[in-house]
Amino acid sequence: MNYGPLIFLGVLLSFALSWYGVIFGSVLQLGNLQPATVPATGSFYPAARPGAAAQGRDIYRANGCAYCHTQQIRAEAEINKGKLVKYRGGDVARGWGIRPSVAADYIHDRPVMVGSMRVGQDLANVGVRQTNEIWHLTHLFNPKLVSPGSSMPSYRFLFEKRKIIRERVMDALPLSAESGAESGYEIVPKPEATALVAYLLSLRAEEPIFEAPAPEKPKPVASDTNSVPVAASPSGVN
Amino acid sequence: MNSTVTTDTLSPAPAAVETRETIVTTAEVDRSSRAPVLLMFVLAAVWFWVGSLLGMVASIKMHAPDFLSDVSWLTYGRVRPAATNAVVFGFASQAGMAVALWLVARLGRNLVQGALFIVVAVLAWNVGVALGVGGVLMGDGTGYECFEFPGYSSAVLLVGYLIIGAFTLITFHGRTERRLYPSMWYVMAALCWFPWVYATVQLLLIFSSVRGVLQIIVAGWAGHNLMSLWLAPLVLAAAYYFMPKAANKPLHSRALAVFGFWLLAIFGAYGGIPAGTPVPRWVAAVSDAGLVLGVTAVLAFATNVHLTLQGVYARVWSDSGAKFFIAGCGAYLVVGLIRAISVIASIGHPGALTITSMGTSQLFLLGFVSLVLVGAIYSISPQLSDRRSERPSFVGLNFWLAGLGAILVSMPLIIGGFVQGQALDNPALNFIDVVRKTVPFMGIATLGSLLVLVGATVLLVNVCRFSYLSWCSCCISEKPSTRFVKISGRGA
Ligand code: HEC
Repeated sequence: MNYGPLIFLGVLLSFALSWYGVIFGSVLQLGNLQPATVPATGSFYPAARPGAAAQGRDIYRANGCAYCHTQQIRAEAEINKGKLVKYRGGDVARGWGIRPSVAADYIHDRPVMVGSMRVGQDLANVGVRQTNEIWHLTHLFNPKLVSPGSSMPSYRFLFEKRKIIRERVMDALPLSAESGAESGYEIVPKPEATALVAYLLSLRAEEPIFEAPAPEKPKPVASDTNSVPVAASPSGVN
Repeated sequence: MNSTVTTDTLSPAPAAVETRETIVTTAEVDRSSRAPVLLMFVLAAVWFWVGSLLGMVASIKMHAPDFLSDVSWLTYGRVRPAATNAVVFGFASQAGMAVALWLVARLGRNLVQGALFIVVAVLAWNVGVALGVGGVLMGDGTGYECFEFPGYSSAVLLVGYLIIGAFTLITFHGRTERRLYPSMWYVMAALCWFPWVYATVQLLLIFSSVRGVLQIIVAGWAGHNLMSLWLAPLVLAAAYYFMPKAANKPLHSRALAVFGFWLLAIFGAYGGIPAGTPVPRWVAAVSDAGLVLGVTAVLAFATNVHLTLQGVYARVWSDSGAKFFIAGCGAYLVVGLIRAISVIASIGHPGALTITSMGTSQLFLLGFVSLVLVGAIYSISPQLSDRRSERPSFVGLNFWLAGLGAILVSMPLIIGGFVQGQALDNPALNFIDVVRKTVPFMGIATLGSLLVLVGATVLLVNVCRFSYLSWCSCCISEKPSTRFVKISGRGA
């Protein structure tokens, strides 16, 4: 192997094969992926995130929540006589989702932050599990207040500490005295915090679609966004 | 035999070449590479120190979440990518390019071409890294792992790279030694692969964006290739060069090296998209298959190194500079095996998004890449200053700090990941208890990152001292010392 050009050619060709196969191949297959039709209702899934949630996705990106949280449910389908019986795997058992995540779940997002490591829970469906905005804000302000023993960092810099003038403002966090709230002061979420929570509440990738049906048992398809979380596990924060 | 005057290829060069009058001497080659290579070493050492410091802060935050949590730019999700990118682009890529340039000039017996342009390009590269690390800390990170640098910094980086790469190629092209030692293949291949990978990321993710999960595919593929076809070949080039030097015998098998090279070129380009990722199944299957088959390249390399060192391990190990290479190659083997085993173990079993992944990437970066590159820096820098009798100090100490640090950072995370995986699979266990199980492992990793940081300090001091010395000897034109020393660190 002393002939430079030949090495170059081999090096370029072997790499071109990978580029062409993996990158170009997937662009051909997925480049035009459109929202899926939901079999039960005939509506389209997913809907684009509303404005505040899209802004919140930027806060999520900027603060790197994805280094501790994934947004991908993994599960193996158990199929019996051509019918889906259930999904196997810890994710579904923990109530993090009723079906595995699929490509269609992500078409509106940029960047797509599926994450690769779970220090905290998977958040693909956190908007189904935790629907309370105040809970989320308090959690971001100081995770230990709502989740004792949490090792999630606090995001106090997304909040403003203000002196109370006459009366607490409407959107100040309802913190009790023992939770570290200084008397005479109130904690008000900055717009970033509210947007971030809007994003978290918009994380609901549970719609059963053709590629990823839900097993029949748990419950019929409901498009009511305020429905109770469909968790297989008894506790919501599991 | 004085190693500085023999040729560096597999066998001594034909006598005809040695006697040709146009032949450049090793001393001339070294002098031509002095300015760009030493500059890159110093800046690389600075970034290694910065990256290690940020890495330690990130590591502390994993078990003490309130540590520095009130400042937005020091939040975990910014410090972690800033640390990784400082090490990958500031240290490893830069030191790798410096070693590559030095190897190309040395092995090709050619003066470094366009040294001045390279120096300017190196400055551009470092401005790019600084903007990138700063940008990530300010919250401008792109959100794609390994490629968090925002567009305004990655563009500068790419321009810097293209100039450095171009002059390395020109230096390669004008070589007077035609026989290509294995290190040369790796260097040249890496120099071709990197711009391709990096440009793909810039075009498909950062300056415009592909749709949905295509982003995961591009980012995963590119992140894998950044390690496997950019950093790894640069580091392997150094190892292929310095291992036989340290052993003071030729590389065991050139044929095996050829074989291993093509295995890497063919299989190394697949990976980074594990099964279970929400992408079409064939993409993950291709990626996983490539990852497993890629282990053959690791095995070919490890076998070659082992056969070269067989019988002389003890002697080579007693040389503090050579320890870096042996330990680094060992880490490469371990990482390859762990990755292959976890792919095979994950067949039919979804999940596995544990902290093990962070442990293996740390072992790759701090064990394999950093150890070998630091060893190479210690071997090369004395040759670049005119005062060759100067030796770096505390090399042995640096080795133990860096080596133990790498183990203590990575192993707890790798093992902790298995514990975490077991716990996650047991839905009866509350999630917060799963968290509690992993926290102690993070504590040990912090201890490791402290050792890494102290090691990085030793490196920084040494490299700065050498550059200062050769700067002095340049300006004051002190009579160069006549004592020649071997390059494999002290003694050998
Ligand atoms: C250092 C790792 C880490 C980072 C960074 C992190 N988290 Fe967490 N997160 C955790 C841990 C651990 C838990 C589990 C304990 C708890 O509920 O606080 C958690 C829990 C959560 C939960 C509750 C999930 C549930 O199912 O109840 C939400 C929501 C959340 N995090 C959102 C975020 C957001 C938004 C960010 C970025 C601003 C973020 N996290 C950054 C570690 C992290």
